[in-house]
Amino acid sequence: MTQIARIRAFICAEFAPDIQPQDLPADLDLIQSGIIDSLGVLKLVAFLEDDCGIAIAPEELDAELYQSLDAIAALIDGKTANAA
Amino acid sequence: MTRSLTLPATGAPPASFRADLVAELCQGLDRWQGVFNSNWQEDDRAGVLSQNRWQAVCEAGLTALTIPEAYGGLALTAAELAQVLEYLGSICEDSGLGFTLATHLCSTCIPVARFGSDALKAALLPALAAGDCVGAHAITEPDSGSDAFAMRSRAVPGPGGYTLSGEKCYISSAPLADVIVVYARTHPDKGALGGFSALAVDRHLPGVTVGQPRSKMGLRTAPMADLHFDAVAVPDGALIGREGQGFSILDYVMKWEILCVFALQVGEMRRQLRRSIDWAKGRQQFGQAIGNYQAVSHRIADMHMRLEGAANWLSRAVAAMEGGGRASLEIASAKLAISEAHVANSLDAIMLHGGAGYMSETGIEAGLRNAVGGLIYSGTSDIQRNRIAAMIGL
Ligand SMILES: Cc1cc2nc3c(=O)[nH]c(=O)nc-3n(C[C@H](O)[C@H](O)[C@H](O)COP(=O)(O)OP(=O)(O)OC[C@H]3O[C@@H](n4cnc5c(N)ncnc54)[C@H](O)[C@@H]3O)c2cc1C
Repeated sequence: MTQIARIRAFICAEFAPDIQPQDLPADLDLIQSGIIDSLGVLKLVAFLEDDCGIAIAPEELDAELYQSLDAIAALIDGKTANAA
Repeated sequence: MTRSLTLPATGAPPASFRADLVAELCQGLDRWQGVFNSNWQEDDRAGVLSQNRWQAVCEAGLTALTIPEAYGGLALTAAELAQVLEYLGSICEDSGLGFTLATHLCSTCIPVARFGSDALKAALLPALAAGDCVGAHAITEPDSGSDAFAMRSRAVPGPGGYTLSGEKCYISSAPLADVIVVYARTHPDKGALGGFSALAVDRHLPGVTVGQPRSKMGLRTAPMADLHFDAVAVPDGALIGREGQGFSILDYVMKWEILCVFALQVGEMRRQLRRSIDWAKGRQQFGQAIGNYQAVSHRIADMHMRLEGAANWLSRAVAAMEGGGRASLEIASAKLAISEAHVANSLDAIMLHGGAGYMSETGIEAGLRNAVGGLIYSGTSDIQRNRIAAMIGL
């Protein structure tokens, strides 16, 4: 499974058990739609850090960065590009 | 006391750990011990912070511990800070003093250094480092405590700044603070994420009212008051980080606050246990030292187990803060474990000392009154349990 596919599966399992991972639109606003709330962002960050090995700085605990799967993918791409 | 008892408590230090600096800082504190501990019970009874003692905290360099070096501080890492504060807790009997220091560091020094603009850092950090400027933070309101982001305080953006209005309550250090980091809603349509901001508010601005000092169960030498903001004109430059970043800043600040306050408490628990052991060896009843009775020795063994459990949780929290991951879970666990261990040990210390433990003049009962606060501030035990459950997948 690619990293973003794992994240997609995590979000559905944790926050939206009624949605099948493949049915979660990549541009859906996760916060506006109520799928992820403030505690949800902390859980997601913990997942990214602990299970995906992605370091998230305190400044990066910003709603916009986790607003959609697309946004999360862009955040991770930026980090791997920087690391490379 | 032997320092070796205290220093290894937070486990194997990370590579960046400046052991010499930490040892030097701790040694330096020994010389202030007399000032820290003289007549503190009187201040506790009167519910006041001694100016003398706070001055000693500043002169000992403690107010500068977390400030970046460029602004006159020591830029201690989480691991270094935890050791110095644990040591302070182990030698300073005036818990309210340590609590006031932790409030200063965590409320203001830490978020300004991490998120503040260069101008804000230049304006505040040197004075915060010297202790000439004292910091506090205001989150809680009459109708929002655990549910912090149900707060009603508003900071309405306008030309050149914000108009701040609202009520804050139970604000530690409010009676002595010069700058108060106030969390308020800046965006009416957004929720916890993006709707709130942190402002470093000058307490002397027109429209800021500090209430009468509040009388409380413990930490009586750490002054507390409520705050009222009546259309206070706060300049743009007071914004910490970006508008809407309040949630992230508070999450960061709370982690440091828990680290600092509970490192102090692990030190306090060490002092309490040492004192209890001495007492159990010296106090004679029925012709022998009470420590010879298994009921007493087992109580001491239990205190030791709780203390070392607390110290282990502190090291895990430190490791997580140093980049080991799982910080939210480790910090919540450490907060819950250390606060509850401290209350249990404080009650045991009173039982062990019998009537003397119940008398104010011995300072033993104050330990319990102080420890109870730890179950409430920085997120109650229930809130920590909620967070732990959420973080482990519930
Ligand atoms: C010594 C001390 C110092 C403080 N310093 C500061 C300060 O400097 N700045 C500041 O802003 N505030 C400060 N506070 C306030 C403190 O942060 C709040 O008291 C705390 O967050 C709890 O809020 P509350 O008092 O409104 O209680 P409530 O939130 O009303 O809680 C009441 C009870 O309900 C429980 N409860 C609430 N919600 C839940 C839930 N979802 N699940 C389970 N149980 C729940 C709580 O655990 C508690 O037992 C301080 C408090 C103390 C005691």
